[in-house]
Amino acid sequence: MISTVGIARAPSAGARFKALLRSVAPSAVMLSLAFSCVHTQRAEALPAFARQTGQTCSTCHTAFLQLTPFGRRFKLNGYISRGGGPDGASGTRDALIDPPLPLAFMWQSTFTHLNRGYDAPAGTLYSVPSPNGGYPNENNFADAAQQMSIYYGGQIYGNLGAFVQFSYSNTVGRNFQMDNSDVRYTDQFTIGDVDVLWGITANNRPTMQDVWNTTPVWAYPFLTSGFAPGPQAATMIESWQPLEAWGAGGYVFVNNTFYAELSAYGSPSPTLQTTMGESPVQNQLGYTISGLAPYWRLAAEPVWGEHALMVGTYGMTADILPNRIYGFGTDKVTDIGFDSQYQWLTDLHAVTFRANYIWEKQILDASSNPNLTGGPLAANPVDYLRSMQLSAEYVYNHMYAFEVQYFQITGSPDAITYQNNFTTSPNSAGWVFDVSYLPFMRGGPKFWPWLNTRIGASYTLYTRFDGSTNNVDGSLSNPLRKASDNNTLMLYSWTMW
Amino acid sequence: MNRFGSKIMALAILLGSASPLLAEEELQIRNCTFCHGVSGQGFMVSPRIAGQRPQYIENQLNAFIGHIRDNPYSKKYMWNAAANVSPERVHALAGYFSSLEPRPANDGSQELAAAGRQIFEEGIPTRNVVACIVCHAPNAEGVRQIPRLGGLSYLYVKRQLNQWNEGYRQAAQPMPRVAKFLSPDEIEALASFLSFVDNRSPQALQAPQP
Repeated sequence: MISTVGIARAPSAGARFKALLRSVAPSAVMLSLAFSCVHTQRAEALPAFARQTGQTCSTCHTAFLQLTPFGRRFKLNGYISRGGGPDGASGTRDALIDPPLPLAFMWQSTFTHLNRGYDAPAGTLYSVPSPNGGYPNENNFADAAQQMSIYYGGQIYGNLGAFVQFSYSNTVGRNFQMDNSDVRYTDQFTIGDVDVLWGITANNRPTMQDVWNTTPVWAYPFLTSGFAPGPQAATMIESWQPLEAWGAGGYVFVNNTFYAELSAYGSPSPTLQTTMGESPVQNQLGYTISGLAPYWRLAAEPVWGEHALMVGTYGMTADILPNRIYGFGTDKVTDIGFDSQYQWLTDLHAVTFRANYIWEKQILDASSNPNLTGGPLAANPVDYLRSMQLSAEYVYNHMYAFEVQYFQITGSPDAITYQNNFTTSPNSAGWVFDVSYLPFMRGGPKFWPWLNTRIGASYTLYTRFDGSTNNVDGSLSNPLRKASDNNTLMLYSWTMW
Repeated sequence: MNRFGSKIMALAILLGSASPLLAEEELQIRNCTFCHGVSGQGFMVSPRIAGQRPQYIENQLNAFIGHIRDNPYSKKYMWNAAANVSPERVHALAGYFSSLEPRPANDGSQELAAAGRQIFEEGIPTRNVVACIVCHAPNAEGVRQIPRLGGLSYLYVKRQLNQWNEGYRQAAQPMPRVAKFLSPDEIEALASFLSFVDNRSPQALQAPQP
């Protein structure tokens, strides 16, 4: 069934790539239910999980998306654990219907207010993803359906479980695509005093499978505006979209404390990406893996009483074909992350601190090649990036959530990579504040007890944006565009059912 | 690399699709273990259920189903988790987890263990606190429906004793009447001591060496 292709010894990049496709594509297609992606947001805390376990959202989330230690273990168990029944708080007795399939739905609406409007002609740093290329000096955007999703989440059979998301995104290409997806097989055993939970995961986005809200896919901020400008620079591991890197790997979780994982990722073909729903316009060419890229993760999570601490490290190293151009070799990008999370959880209070630091080295053999088709993409042979986030969350009674984050991106200036900004620097820094109200974490209305919603306001404040505090876009507009002009207020409603 | 990649993929698919067919017919212990731990040794506020008295586990599950055990974490987690467990399955789960070897939590204060041991063995006669050993058996291993206390986590035992005094779990007689005579310091000592009791060894009650 799996066509193992043996022509990989062909030296040309094109042949190698075809071989990769032929070997990976059928496996991947069979494997899953199709992986793909939507560009901007993430989203989950699945009502389908609540139906399956009988638990309310508050068992696994402090305020979605932030997981509790139990939520992490539910995920590590491969979404298969069950429970509940007709009389549980999230039970089916009074529900309108008890759906036979573990389906769930999501609807996100946002209103975005920028400190100062901007013109965003197509192709510029601030081009808003729109077919017409931007908005004429706008600073208010309302989007009743920034993103809508449908999920399959839960036990498939026995020890096999899945989390699969399809999304329609209003802000990006207005298309329906496969989003974050993860299929797992897990089991457990005990030898002497050693408990081992192990699993195999196939997923479509590095760190999608991770259970701590420090790694990129599930990190805070959980929801961002599809319209607001964001810093240009981001490390590779923060940049993956669900259609760009698919992979599989295995993990062990020993004595409920020590986690180790090794996975490998490859990039699907443009054809496959299109098949999975990504519109060609949105095809993100930035990162295409040549061959396979290893991803690793180590973490320790000691717990005591109502406290849980995690200290971990993760990383990925990949040969990247810049803009999927063949014949000029590859860039070598290595990311090494260090992260930590602490939680104190009682029935009434939930405090979470998160820290994440990513160091990236880019050896830009291909991108800096002056003969690269379309011109070089980097001026330096080697660039570095460092990305850091520190955040804190307090949730009262699973109902009122307060979040604050400081973020910082620094790295090597590069006259080509960052040519759209005045200082050619990747440096940005700022704060994100968020206040939200979650009325249904402990169970929704009787007719649909799995309803959950998060209504909130967030404010993103930039102290530095793409290298500058003023004239951040290099346009010399009058007055100059300051970093604070990109400050963003977002009001949102985020409903799952 | 390409061959390697396809093999990794193939392995993932095969393992993912071929063998999961066991669990459905088996006892669904992983409905319990995602919170109570792979071998039921407890995790955070979930108590250790490994090696607990089977009759006690059955009684507690029935108390969750009947909404009789009413402390906040029971309400929050166990009422929902147990709601639909059939009597046969209650019995089978109790049998399974009681058969697992209990490991001591070892999370109390060693300095307080000696004082806790004294309360456990002798009670506090001046204040009418009966010795725990009378009901919970000489090595804190429990008897019949009376639970094993040996090795339970310090915070769990402490929370239970406090909650009796706060008005929860009043159906669990005689504990509400016993617990009300214990001072906070004595509860600390007792919970510390019990966390070190290793029922796997013949010297279960040996207080830890500081």
